[in-house]
Amino acid sequence: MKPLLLLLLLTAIDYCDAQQNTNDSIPKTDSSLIEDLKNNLLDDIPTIALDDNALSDAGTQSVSSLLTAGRDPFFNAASFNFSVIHFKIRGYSSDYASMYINNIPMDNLDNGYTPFGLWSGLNDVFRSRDVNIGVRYNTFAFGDIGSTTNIDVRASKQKPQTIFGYAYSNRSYQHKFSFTHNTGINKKGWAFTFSGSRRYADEGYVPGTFYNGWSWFFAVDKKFGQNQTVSLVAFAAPTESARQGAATIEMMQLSGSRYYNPDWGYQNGKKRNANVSKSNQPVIMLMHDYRINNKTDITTSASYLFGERSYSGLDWFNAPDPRPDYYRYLPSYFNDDPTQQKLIEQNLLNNESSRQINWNNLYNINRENNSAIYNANGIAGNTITGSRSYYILGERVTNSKIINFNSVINSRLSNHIDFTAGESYQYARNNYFQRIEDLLGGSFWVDVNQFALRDYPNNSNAYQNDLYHPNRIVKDGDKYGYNYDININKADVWSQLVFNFPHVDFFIAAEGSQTIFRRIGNVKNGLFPDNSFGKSAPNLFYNYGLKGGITYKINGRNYLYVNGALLSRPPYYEDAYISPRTRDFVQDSLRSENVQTIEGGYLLNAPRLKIHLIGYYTQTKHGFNVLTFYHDDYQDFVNYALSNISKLYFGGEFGVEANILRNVTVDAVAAVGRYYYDGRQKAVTTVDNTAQILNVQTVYTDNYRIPSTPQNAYSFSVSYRSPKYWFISLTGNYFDNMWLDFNPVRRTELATENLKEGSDAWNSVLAQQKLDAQYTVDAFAGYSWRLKHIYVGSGMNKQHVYLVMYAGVNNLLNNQNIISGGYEQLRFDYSTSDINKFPPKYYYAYGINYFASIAIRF
Amino acid sequence: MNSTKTILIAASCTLIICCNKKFDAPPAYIAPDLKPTLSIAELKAMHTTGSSEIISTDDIIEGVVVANDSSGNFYKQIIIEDSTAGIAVNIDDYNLYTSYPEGRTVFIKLNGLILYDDNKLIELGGSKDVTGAVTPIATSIKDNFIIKGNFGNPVAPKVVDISDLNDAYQNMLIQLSDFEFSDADTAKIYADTSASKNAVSYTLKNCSNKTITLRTSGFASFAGINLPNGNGSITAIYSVYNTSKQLYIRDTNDVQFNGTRCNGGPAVQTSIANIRSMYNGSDIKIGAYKIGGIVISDAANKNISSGSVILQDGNAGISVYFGGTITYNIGDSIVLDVTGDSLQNYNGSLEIKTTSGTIKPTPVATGKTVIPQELSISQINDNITNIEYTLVKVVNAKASGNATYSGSNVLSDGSGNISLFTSTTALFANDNLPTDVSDWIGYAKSFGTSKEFLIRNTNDVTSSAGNSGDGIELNTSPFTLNFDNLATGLPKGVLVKISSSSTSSGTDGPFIATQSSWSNTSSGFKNYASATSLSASSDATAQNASTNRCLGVKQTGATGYDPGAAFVFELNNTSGKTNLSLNFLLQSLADGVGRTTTWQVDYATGDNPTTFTPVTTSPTTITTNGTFTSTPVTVNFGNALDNQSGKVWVRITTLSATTGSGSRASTGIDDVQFSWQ
Repeated sequence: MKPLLLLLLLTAIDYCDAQQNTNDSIPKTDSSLIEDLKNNLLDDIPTIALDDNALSDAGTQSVSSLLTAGRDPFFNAASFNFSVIHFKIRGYSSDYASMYINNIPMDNLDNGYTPFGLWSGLNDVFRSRDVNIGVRYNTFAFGDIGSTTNIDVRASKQKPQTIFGYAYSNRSYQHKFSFTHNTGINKKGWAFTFSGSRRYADEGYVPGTFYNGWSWFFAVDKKFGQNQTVSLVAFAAPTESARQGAATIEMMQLSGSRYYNPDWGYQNGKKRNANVSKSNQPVIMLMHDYRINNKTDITTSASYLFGERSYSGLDWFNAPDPRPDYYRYLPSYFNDDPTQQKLIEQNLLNNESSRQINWNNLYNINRENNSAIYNANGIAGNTITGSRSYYILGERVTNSKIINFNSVINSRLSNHIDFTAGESYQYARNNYFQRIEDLLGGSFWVDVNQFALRDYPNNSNAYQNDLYHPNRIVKDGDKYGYNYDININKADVWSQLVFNFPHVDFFIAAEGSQTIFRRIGNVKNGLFPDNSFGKSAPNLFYNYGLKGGITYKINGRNYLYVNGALLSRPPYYEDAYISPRTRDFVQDSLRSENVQTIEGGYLLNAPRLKIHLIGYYTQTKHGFNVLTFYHDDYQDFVNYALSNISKLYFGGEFGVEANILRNVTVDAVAAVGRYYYDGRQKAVTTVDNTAQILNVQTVYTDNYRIPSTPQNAYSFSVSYRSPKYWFISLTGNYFDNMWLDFNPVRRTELATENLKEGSDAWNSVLAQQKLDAQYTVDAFAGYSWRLKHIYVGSGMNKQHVYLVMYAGVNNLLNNQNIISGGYEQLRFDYSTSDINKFPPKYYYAYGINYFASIAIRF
Repeated sequence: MNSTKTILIAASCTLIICCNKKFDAPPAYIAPDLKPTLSIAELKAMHTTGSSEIISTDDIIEGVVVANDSSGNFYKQIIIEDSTAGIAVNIDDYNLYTSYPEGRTVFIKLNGLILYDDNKLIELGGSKDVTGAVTPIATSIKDNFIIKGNFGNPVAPKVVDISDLNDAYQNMLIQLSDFEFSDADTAKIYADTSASKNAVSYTLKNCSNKTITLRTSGFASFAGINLPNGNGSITAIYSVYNTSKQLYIRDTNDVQFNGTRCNGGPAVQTSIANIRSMYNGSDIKIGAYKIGGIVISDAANKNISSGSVILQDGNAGISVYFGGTITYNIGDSIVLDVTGDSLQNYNGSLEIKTTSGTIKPTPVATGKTVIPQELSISQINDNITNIEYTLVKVVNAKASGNATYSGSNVLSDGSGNISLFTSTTALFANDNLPTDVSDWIGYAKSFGTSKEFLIRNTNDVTSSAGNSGDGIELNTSPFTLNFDNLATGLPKGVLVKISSSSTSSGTDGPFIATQSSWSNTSSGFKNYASATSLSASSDATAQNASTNRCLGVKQTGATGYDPGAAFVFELNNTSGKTNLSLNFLLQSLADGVGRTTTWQVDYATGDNPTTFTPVTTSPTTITTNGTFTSTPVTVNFGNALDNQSGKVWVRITTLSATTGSGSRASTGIDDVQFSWQ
């Protein structure tokens, strides 16, 4: 550790010119047309569940897209060309990327993910970006090790113009209408921006998925004198979208489609999806920019975010599993009974409704019973009778209140030294609960824990979800099940020095932070009356970050650099609490994760040739994770608390952009890395019904591959940019060395104990599935047409009117074999060790798909 | 301002709150207009007992659901009946009650289904599997066969006389009047709620002693509910198991035993203390009560009259006289209906004298522990009426009088004296009376105007001086551990360890007191059935039923088990003892495992030993593996452990890693015996 620190101290630096500052929306050139197109396409990518983690929060199951930006050929390809397969830069999960808006940190404090959905559909105004990849320095924050981005959305930073836009696509949504108006700064120092959009589809690319999104944005700036600006920004993107569930190969074959979606069914002839995500979380920001003198600038920002995000799903009480792809309903479960197997197969093959949710049946069952609930609502002798819902549509809701405060000072101490320092305070109170969305024909639901009821049928306390409201009768819109808050406080201070000299630049930065989080239970769970209600003990972490780098400028075009960072990060609450739904137990020996990374490279930045060649080596240690899934044998939720997770990432990134002919550019990009789990993990298994530890196991994960990203990705594209304001480009991509997310349960001695070492069965349980290599071909074109003799305004304000058109076609060769995501199911049949009893589930990337847009700008 | 106007207009357009319209609820289910072509009786008549018939005609039966799986007493099955007969329909799903509530009419399209009998009970199934066994109807295609009709058509049970019950009533809802559970069962629960969840059969009888079996699944949600004590009607599905007649209830509402029992009134559970408080100075007949208590007397050692037993319930005890010969063991838990029995003063102590011919009830549990209350002799003398017939412990007391236990001796502890009485018929009557200061466990009672203290057997007497530790006190050679009461925990002085080595006693391993099957694969120290009297193929039910238990360990790759698992015996001392030897049975219990575990015996002395000395066993190499065996092992310690005044530790331990591959052995030890001279 010490030598590395010393090295960093000795070598710290900068390479100012190499930094990607992309405040390039003015003037409008064809390259920003491409960027517009790409951002629109990225905004239209479906979100998918990353794993089999049954009860995780709505926010964590989405794959976040990176924002594309700038002229770095490598980052452009990584963020856009590779997005079809959810490429992760350097294999990092998205909590290693951080996002700021107006200097305010936007990442969720509960899992580190960037909530892109908060501003989706607002591409017109979220274009002024400062993106730094890897361990570079930033002028607004200490930064993360993957990428660090700040978007400046202030009204005065938007180009004065008005845009009416329409787009058509066959992806998540079909239609998009948008409108943006920026006034620019007037003589009195005011600037206004308004933007809004509407995106919708009755059905997207995947059957049964609708999309219904609105977004709005409002910003006002007031300049006071030459040196001070106060900005107010407010935006939100209220969106509902139906989702796609992952599916097994068996169901894909029976349905004849790789886009089989088990989450919908016909109701009165209409497709109804059970799995709908909803989000409406407005953000309000206030920013003050004070230029004290020519050398020093202080910006201070504060923000408030509030509102809900949720997603829905079927919930049921002592009733048969309503999911059409439940394994006991499928032919593969009937291998011993060929007669019925054939009947079931025929039924599923020939009858679409048998492969989908049978809503009518759920309504009928709910209506056709007459149940008596004794001591209802906790009142002795109070008996309520009626049609109890055995099936409901429930929502898992996260209601957030997040306050951020951030202040940064940038000062030029001399011609050679820039000084930056900042502090921030973040407070988040997230309320997690379940809510009834639809009783599906029944009259009420009873808020008891069916799993506890099965284990403790004669203990009327144990099966209460809330001992303060036993046997509670709940109806549409009522809360039920779990209900708890997570409070997170984070305070952070950081500082950096950047030195610029003729041939050498270097920088050094340091950060210190304190994070406290705790659970606050709002219901008293009958299984854990002493550990479920009220405040838990706080979890307190002190963390540090150190980074530095040096750039050697061979000349104005050739740069060599090396950067390194050492940091520690607190565990996320999701990985700390074993079962926050029922109790406040945390994993043993919670501690911070340690991260070490070093990167070095060569950059060429010539007018007709740009080269990006980087190597990196990153190690993380002492990570935590919690997996929760329903287990048939225990008839309960099992929590698999993993600790001692170490990861290793190393590899190289290569990008070249060459202007080979007049107006013809060739881009070639390669990302070749090796991402491993390093060493064995420890797993502690518990179930929701008891505090007892079922077992403590070693998970043999050493050298398992970090899944869900290609470790080799290549891209080659040719673009023609006409001086007449149009362009066309063609891109080919190739992905290899992709691995499926694996189930740790299978990599234990318990899972392999009854198998002969080295046998086929033994290998099949242990092996990690490598996915087939894949390719895609994409084409894009665009044209910015200045309409002749048509003007807006008059006199001095007379403006040209542009008609801007662009279109992109992805996966031109309609390759439908691309597994874009998937996971091994967490259930495992120990008795037979047959991995096909609970086979992996997959998502396939869309076949040929397109996006076309037309806009009027003036 | 032009721009502001634009903004306002646009804002009003776009700020429309996005809301999704509610889905239109589908119309209520309309039952199809189907007509049965066969009655259930006609269908059943097509069946030949012992064979099965695949139905290939497009016939339809109609029936109303009279039972389903809502309480768990029926499993993957619904029972339907029409006016002619009833039949069970087997469906491969749980929670069938949601689709098939009681009172729902269903139509069954028979074509393709199988008619068969399960031990003469006629049922419908879906198909046959590759072994030829009939399978239930797969749930994903059940709607092809079972068409739901309208619901809310409850069927009234057929009231029948027990003598009229015959196969025509199979799977019909019937009602019998004036039945009750037998006296011995009234304190029990419907079925087995332990982990093994066994079904339980009870005999119901009416007042003319006609009987029928009530059978209840251990998975029924009401399994843990107490049987009702009265007499009345029972509604149930009539079932057969070959020629025996059985009833299955849907839930406890079906059992309306609220009336007066045939022998007059239901017995009410009460405490022994309450019974004792009923004594008002003269003998009385006890009313309709039953009591529960744990046996603290030792019939086998005969320091009590052969027809009496002493029961303790909480802090109160009483002697119960049955007559005949008592065979209860210490720790048996008894529930006894004392209705009509006498509560009398017998030689100064209270006694329940049962009416002649009372059946001695089967214990509801065994191996229960009563912890003796530690009292001085003066406290016993002062409180004799409160503590009579309860287990007490007198520490540091000395006996004097005769050379042997027999007859009246005197026990004194400095606070006072009490008569120590031992019957001449006691097995230990002629053993020498110990004269050193000892701890005494037993019970006191009045005898006329004097007070007596009685021990049950010589294990009740332990030397005060030597018994300073938590370990095994070697009193009379041989000292034997049969592990049959492991359900209550490890015997005193027996420890289970993991991570042990030749220089470390290791750490305490987890001991799971509940019964475990040999094939259970989770690591830990277990309460296994002993290999003695069972075979390699004995299943979990047979194992759980076995009362011969052994102490075992399942090794896995979990840390500390391989190597490092150890059974440890902590001996308080070997003062005055020589030539210690050890015999035990080493048992390989999991048949077919791949690996072999090598065991050895070693010993150490002192409170915190760090050096363990291995000893030669006979046979020399002792292993457990995948071959089901029980091997007697003998170990002679020679003079190495003679006359040790401090702790002596003897271990049966595994200090080297298992060999081979695959899973590891389930090892048991049983009948551990220390002998000495």
